[in-house]
Amino acid sequence: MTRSRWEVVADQECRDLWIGGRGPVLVFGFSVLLSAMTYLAATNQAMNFLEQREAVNLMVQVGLAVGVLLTVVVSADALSGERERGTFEGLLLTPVSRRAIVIGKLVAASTMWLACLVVTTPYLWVLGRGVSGAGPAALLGLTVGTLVALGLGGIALLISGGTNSNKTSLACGLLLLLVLFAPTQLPALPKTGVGEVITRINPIGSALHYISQILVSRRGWTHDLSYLASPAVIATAVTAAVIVAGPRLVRLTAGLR
Amino acid sequence: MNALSLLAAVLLSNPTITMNHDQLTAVIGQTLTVESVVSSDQPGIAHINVVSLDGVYVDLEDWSQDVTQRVPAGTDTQLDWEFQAVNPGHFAVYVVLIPQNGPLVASPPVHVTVSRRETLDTGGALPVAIAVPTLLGAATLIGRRRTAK
Repeated sequence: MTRSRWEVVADQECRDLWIGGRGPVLVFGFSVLLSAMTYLAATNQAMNFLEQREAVNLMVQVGLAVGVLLTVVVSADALSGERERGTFEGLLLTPVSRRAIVIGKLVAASTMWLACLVVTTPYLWVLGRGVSGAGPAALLGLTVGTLVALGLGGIALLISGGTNSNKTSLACGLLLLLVLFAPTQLPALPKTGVGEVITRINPIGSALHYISQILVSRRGWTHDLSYLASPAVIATAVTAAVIVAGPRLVRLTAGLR
Repeated sequence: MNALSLLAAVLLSNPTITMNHDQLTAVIGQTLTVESVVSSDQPGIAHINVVSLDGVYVDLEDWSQDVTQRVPAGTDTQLDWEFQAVNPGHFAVYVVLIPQNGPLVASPPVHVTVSRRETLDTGGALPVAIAVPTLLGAATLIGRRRTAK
């Protein structure tokens, strides 16, 4: 059975990322962070308020935020990094379409999120024992987190395609994450009229709100489903934009942009 | 007290406060709501307070963010008070009305029993917190060595 060309690109990109690349190091750092969070949640007297479900929710939120951050970092490097390292010409000479290149790169970047999710699972199991919280939390991470990671990773890839400088694409990607993540730290935001609109528009804010409603408030999966509109729309639109604009993104340009 | 205040105190009926519960039970961290109805002919300020019956220090700011509410004159005013049980033990929650004139009026207390709850244990968390990074770190090192060869 012959594989699609984008699969070949994705396979090669995954090898570059995970075998001898920076993927394992990033995931190792991610696991150290989760270990510290888990240990603190389980032992720190100041955090004893945390009910087990709240601790599971906290772990999902940290996992999602940092996992998406790592996905954005990998995506932001995908095209501008190749240009900066001078390996882009070789990539352009490969007998695959430019669209296949950009799709393959997006798929490879998404594996970073999946790896983070796999690493998060044992921590969820430890914190969610006895309250049946680990299963739903992992499932929420897989569904909601994948939507967010795909959407924001795709945006970072689009930014990366539009610049020759890795610093620029990384800075834009991180700034985007910061802008989206900052409102989620305002505890009363979803309770106000304008705040609810901001939460619903923001893919990270709406995803975290949906997850906490299920894990902490024990709402049904369909009760706040409308909150997933933003992550779903952004993931779909960005994936479509990557597929449509792919050939224009994968090109050499002179000088710094 | 001047003559006008004295006259007002005589003419106006005494304010009353009723609560919708006389006792509640909660688990630490749980958010509770009690409802009070204030009947007063004059405007005033209602204030919720929490007292420990076990002698534990109570920081009211930790229990509730909104501890005062305005009470208009002449009608029965329903006031909802939301608070979080932040200490285990036995507590009395009550509302005090500070009327424009006259003495303070206190509601009957709501006895709140807050029980502890099981928190996470270190025993289960520590092995996972050590094992996962160790395994990933070892895998990363082995992978790097193989690639370097």
